[in-house]
Amino acid sequence: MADVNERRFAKLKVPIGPSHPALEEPARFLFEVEGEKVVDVDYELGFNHRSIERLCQERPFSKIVYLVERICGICSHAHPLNHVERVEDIADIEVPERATYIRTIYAELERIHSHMLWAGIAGEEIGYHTLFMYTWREREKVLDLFESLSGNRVMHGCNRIGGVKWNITEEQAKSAVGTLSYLDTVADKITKAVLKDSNIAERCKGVGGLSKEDAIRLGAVGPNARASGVPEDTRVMCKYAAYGDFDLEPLTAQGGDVVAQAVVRLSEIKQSIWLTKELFANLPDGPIQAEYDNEVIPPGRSVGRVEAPRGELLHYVETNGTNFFERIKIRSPTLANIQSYVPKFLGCQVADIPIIAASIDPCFSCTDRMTVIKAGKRKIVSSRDLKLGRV
Amino acid sequence: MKRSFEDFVPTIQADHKGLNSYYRITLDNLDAALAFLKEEGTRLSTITGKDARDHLEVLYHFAFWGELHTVIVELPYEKPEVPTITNHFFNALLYERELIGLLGIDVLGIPDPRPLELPPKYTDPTPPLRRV
Amino acid sequence: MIVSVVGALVYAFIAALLLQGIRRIVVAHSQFRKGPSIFQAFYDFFKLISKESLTPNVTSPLLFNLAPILSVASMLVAALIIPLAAPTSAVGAGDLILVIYLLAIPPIALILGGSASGSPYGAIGAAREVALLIAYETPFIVAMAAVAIAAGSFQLSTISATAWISVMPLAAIAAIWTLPAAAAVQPFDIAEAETEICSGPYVEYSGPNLALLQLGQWLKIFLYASLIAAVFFGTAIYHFYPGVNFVIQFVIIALLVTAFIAFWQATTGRTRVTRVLRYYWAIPTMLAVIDLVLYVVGVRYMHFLFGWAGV
Repeated sequence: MADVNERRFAKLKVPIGPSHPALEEPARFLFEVEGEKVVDVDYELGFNHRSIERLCQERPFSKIVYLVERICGICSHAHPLNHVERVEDIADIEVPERATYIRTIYAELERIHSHMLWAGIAGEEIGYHTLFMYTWREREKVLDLFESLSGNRVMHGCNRIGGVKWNITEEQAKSAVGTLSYLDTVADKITKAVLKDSNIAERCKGVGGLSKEDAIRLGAVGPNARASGVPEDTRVMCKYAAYGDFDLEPLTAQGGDVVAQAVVRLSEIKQSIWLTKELFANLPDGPIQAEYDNEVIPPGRSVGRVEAPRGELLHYVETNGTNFFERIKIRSPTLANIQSYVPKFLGCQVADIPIIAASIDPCFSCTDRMTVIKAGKRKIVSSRDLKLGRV
Repeated sequence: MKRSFEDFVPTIQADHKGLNSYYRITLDNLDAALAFLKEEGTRLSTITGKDARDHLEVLYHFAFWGELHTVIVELPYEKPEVPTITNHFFNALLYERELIGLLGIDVLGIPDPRPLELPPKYTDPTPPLRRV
Repeated sequence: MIVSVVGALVYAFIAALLLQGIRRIVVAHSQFRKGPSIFQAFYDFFKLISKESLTPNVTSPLLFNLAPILSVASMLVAALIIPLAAPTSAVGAGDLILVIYLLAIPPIALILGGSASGSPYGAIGAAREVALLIAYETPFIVAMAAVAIAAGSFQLSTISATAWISVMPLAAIAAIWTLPAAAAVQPFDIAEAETEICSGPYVEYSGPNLALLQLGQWLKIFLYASLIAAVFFGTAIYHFYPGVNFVIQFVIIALLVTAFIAFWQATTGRTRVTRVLRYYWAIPTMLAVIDLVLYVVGVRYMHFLFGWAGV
């Protein structure tokens, strides 16, 4: 009797990914679904794995900054920033103040455009195309600003060991501040559109919640953790680059559900806009590149963190006195946040899967770093092939 | 951290530089180190595996507000085994799976032993990050 | 007779596809975009016809390939029965009950096709389409029943002789309210949610099958709006401007479609399927029931309020 009642709903296994409209990047989730309710979730990563850590050991120093930059398109400044800061830490290179300010400006602008991108993607996942179109249209202003400062929308290539490559002129600073004031009004509009919409509230309130204890236990980082009430912000904790000169506070919300994530990210846009305006206003004069002996970086190691738009990004760099790195380890924020998917998904409905998947702002390009399926032919690449450069 | 690591856990070598500290310990003292770090309220940031040419190394990076404390354990090539730390720090699961996949280190007692990023049909006996 | 039949079919085809173009342009402009060309639906349709139709392995091939044909066939028959641009329909007579039944067939074809497609997305999409169909058909049927009772007959030619919106505005509101769900746009594009279930029942269709399935859907939107226009706005208006009947009716329909469907599509996200049932069975159904009950009881509130204007 009890058996018949238990088997009332057939369990359906719904795969999401590797290619699915809900995910911008490939990852595989396998949901066990009863009716419309999710009862179990399993994930598989590695579809975007590009063996970057291995490649870093086989290329000389000068190429690694560019390699590290191409780990991810949206966090394309956080990775090289962290990397050059580690190398400067090992070699005891003192970076001029103007360079640290310029680096911080790029980092904050990146945070602004990444969070606007997230707002658009979140809207798209719940079917709200208009929000998606609007936020991405306004995001173009940030990308135009990037293009005027560094020549490229993403992958700026402006970080170098010891400083930055391009200076910021007076006119650029002035027009940038004008754009930022306009973006302030846009951020207000987006915040109002997202938080005061009854349709969004009905779809997103209480969906994908994560308690504070779970967030700490599962190692959530960045806005994902702050949405559950964990007040940790690497910019405040580590005070790298120019953050030590400003009074920042971690912005938190309660509950960890999609609305809390939206609150944290949208308030961070405003915080970043304020901070970037301060940075432009107080840009100190001076050189943008430190002079150092760039023949050899002494043997040593350094580990450090940076607040990428998605959370705490950790780089561990070890050198051995030659022209190649001994070991580079990169732990991107999404890898730390993936484990927090499990409590978020359990008990939700199938309709909520895309929005929960998008709510932690996943960036699987940062997470995996080695692909084995070559375009066209399926070929398992062995480590010998990697070493001989036959990839 | 309020207390100093070297005072509570037998350390072979300790280096401090700015906010970073590195402690080299033996595998037997790993439990004591984890208990101490858990009590101090640190969080595990990540686990790095390294092929140091004549032995393997596993580095556990713990974060306490702005400080980063790294615990280094050496493993011989013949016996690349390390116990899991998911009992103390549950978020170590994915990082230990990465050690299994990319470095071929056996993590004893791990709840989910699938290698993290390798495809299921990866047949090369040498893990990718080893230097051969 | 042949001329009117062929004319009705051609008109329905062209108008349905043009309506899609208009809707997409309006939605695009409200999103600060330019949108596609007004003939985009034509391009899509003829392009899909020219491609290959693939049938997946794990299905009932008969049901899978039958669903699009069913969808289009029922809509072509409905096009001959609903008064499209003249006081009477193309074949002269039309039955309201038959039309309502025919208009429910494209969703049923989607359900059949989705279940037969063998993919979990199709199954979930089919289940959602069932819920959606039950939800929005209820106020629509009650509203139509109210009008039929008031007209005293189920014949469409009798019903559309009067502009029933002036007697039963609440029923008209209820019927128009179901338009977004019938058209499967936000907030009710639940059955074919792209980001959630990869377009649900449509996911395994390709080529001419997909073209026909989509054509059935487009014709359904046009004929649904046509039916509402014919019943509630009536063909009495045609007597004012004889000769430009179909333009007037098309304009009314286009207004209905763009005003209600495009507006909602541009300003909302998707709702959950559990909420749709409660949504449509609450206020819209209540409005239609109020009108029905009031009429049966004998209260002619519109005549009471606006009798001086000739209602």
